Parts: sequence; structure tokens; C-alpha cells
Amino acid sequence: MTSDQDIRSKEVRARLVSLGLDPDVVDLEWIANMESDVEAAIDAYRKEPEFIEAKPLFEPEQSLDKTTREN
Amino acid sequence: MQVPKLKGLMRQINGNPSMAAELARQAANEIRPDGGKWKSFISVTDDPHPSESLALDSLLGCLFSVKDNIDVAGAITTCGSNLFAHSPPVVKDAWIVEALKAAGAVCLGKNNMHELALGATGMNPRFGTTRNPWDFDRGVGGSSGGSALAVALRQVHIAFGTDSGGSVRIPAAWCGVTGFKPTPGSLSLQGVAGACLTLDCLGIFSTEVGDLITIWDSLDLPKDSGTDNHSIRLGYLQDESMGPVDPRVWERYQESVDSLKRANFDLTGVSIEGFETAPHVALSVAYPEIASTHMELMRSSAKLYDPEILALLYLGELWSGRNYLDAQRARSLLRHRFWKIISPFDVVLTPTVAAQPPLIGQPAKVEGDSKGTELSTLMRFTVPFNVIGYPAISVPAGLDRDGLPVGLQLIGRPSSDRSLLKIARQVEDVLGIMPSPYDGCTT
Repeated sequence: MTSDQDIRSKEVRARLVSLGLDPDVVDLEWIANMESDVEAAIDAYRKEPEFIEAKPLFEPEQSLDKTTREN
Repeated sequence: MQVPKLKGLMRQINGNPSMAAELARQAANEIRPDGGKWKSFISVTDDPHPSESLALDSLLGCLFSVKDNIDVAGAITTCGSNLFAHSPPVVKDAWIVEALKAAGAVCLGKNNMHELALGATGMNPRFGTTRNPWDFDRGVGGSSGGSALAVALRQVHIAFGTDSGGSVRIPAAWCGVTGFKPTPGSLSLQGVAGACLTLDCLGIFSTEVGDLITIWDSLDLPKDSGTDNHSIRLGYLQDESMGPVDPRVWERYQESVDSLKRANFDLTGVSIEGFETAPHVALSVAYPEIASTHMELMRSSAKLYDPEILALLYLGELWSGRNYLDAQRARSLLRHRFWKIISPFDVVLTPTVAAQPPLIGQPAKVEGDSKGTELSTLMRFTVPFNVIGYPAISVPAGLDRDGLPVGLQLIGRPSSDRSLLKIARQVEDVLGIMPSPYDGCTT
């Protein structure tokens, strides 16, 4: 593990503890790597010219009555 | 015993519930309650028979099963996990189960799945790992692997699963069956224990598209927005703009496209740029959504989760609201981006999965992918269409040069599900229906 990874893993541990979660039952390095990879990919979308106009897409082409209907 | 083809069988049964009940009992007796060596089932229905208060008999003779995150009255919904393995049986059918039973179909049981539908390998430490019907040493993928397998082994005619990133289409491709993920919201999720609130979709497996159409037409669904009044225009992925593909998969895919060209389909090659990080968008949405579902349980019963799944849930707890919202905005951006690609066409074709089914315990691999990108390798062609909410279906494209099944994915326009199925049937007419992989199998 590089010193940078080590630092990020320790940060993840501290944040999990602060949330009342047990950090010893998961792979902290994996969490730290996934967190930075996914964040970097999402941040890249912010640089796209269309992003500023983009409205959140929660439930494409569907209405709540359809997903919760009782037939 | 392999169940006889649905169409001929329904004709033979001709509305006779006693014959349908006898067939259901025979078929259920052939299924091992422990899933057998293939691990397709988690539980089998006792004394299966058509409902005594049939509203219709349009599906009399149809035998189906459901992934074990879909409720069936009287059965436990385990979600493939220790967490729920000893829960009490549920009292009410899920919407889809109720709808099929009302039309005369019989549910034979609950299918094995990736634990909590939070993974796509089909590995399950609690109920056993699903095995590929074309090569026992390989996996079927997931998370709806048991449902795909039950159809491939001809244990049932139809099986249902859920698809949040490819969980129906991936195992369909690797089992050599058809797997359909409709437009989100077309099929109600009432009675389904989902994985991700805004990505989940109910999906259907069958051996042939005609059976999917029979099921679709038996359901009370909103009218399709697709039109039938023009010749079909197909776009097809012509390059590796969505990422690298195993050359054996790509070769079979190209052969399928060539077959369609020879059959006079109107085909135009397209590049699909700008979707490389769609799996990351899906993850940024999924982390907090699954953590929201599991918040109490992950604190009270952490030791009952697989550590890899627990790590996903922890990521959801750590995830910022800004990242979640940015990902939802990115979905909208990607949706507009794909609309520009599909707008000249009725359907766009891609391979369903970039890789061959891997050996059990190994990740799916494609040369050219960097280390740590296994999830992207698995879902690169499927998850973008969960992210943007387009319907998609995987149909068998035959076997590659190693004798392993390859899937061809057809992506349709939103709310054109019936039209997509109709086009898929025409494609299937050219490519052919896959034979049973294993005659006389012991299930």
C-alpha cells in the first residue's frame, strides 16, 4: 500500500467509526479506491457543457402511481 | 424432464386445469429443493396447481419461477441471503406473480440469486453458486442467474428476475436464453425487494421471444408508444467505442450482424461515444440507495452480510448528497446523448456482455481492461440502459468458437416495449432459437 492509499484508508476508518460502523469487517483500501474512482468520474461530468442544464433523473419515464400500484 | 414448448403445450391443454395441474406437479417433482447440482432453485412450491379462482385462462399450461427477491404467498423471500433465510413466509403475492396466477400460470418456485441482488457474478455462499449449463466450470452471472438457468434447463417456461445494471440480460446472454428489461415502470415492482430504488426493473426470461410476447400481452399494461407503420431501421455498434470486447465475443456479434444484413434488415453502423463511465454513474446512484434500504440491518446484523456487500453499503453511508445528485444529473445528460444516437433508428444493437462467462471464482476479463475494472467489464453494455431508462433485450446470438453462448442486445425507445419485442422476434427468426444445452440433465 502506498502512503497515499494508507492515508486514505485511515480517513475512511475514522469516518466509518464516526458513523457508528465497524471498520474491521470490510476492506478499507477497496472502499477508499472505489470512492476516489467513482468521485473522479462523477466530477468529470460537471465539466461537460450540457451538465449545467441537466435536471436530475430519478425515475425515467415512469410515474409513482405505476411503481406502487396495487392490482 | 424438460418442459414442452409453451405454445404447443397451451394448445394441447386447451383450457383444462386438471391437465395443467398434472403437468405442474410432474415438473416440480423434477426440481431438487436444494437447487440440485446447477443451483437454479432455492425453494420449490408444494403441490403446485392453477389458481382455483381463475380470472382468465390465457396462460393455462405456463410454468414459471421467480427470483427469490420476488414475493410468492406462502414462501420465504430470502433475497439469497442469510439475513432473511429464516424469515416467516410472506402472505401476499407480488404484483407480477398475482397477474400470472390470475391468467392460469403456475409458479414452481423461487430461483437462486446473487446475495441481495448486489452483484453480478452469481456466487452465493449461502445457497450455492449457479453453474453454467454450457460449461459446468463456469458461472452464469447475475444477479438473476438462477432464473436464467431454470429457463435454460427447461425447468420452467418463463422466469422473472430484477435488473438494476444488467442482472437479467447478463445471465440471459451467458445461459443462451432471452432476457428482457422493459422500460422502468412498465411492470410494477410491488412485492419485489429491490436493490436500488431508481435503477431497479423487473425482467423476464424465456427460451424464445414469442413466449415473452404471450406473457406481455396477458398483462394489463399501458399502450405502447411505438409505431408499426414503417420498415424497421436498426443501428448497430460498429466499433469498440463503448470499451474493449473479447475478440471471440466480437466475432460472434459481427457474424450475427452480417446474418441480419443478409436477411435484408436495414442496418447502419454507429459509434456510441461518451458512455465509458456510465457504470460509475450507476454506482454513485446505487451506493446511497442501497444503504438507505439496509441502514438498520447493516448496523444490527453486519456479520450476516458478505464482507464485499457490506463494503458497498458502507460506501453508501460515506457518499455525499452532492455526488448522488450529480450522478442523477449525469443520467439526464447521458439520456439526451443516447437519444441523439437512437433517434434515426427503432433499435440499436450491441453485444450484451463484453466477456465470455468466467470460470467459477474468477472475474470476467477482457484484454485491454485495466485491473480493478471487473464491474465495468461485466456491465459496460447493460448498465448504461438502466442509467438512462431505455428498454433492452438480450437474444441468443449463437455460440462463440469456444462453444460458449453470446448475447445480442437490442435497445429500444422508451415505452416502446411491445415494439421492441416484435423486432426482437424478427431478429430471432434470423439468428435462430438456441437448443437446450443439456438434454436429459439431472436437476
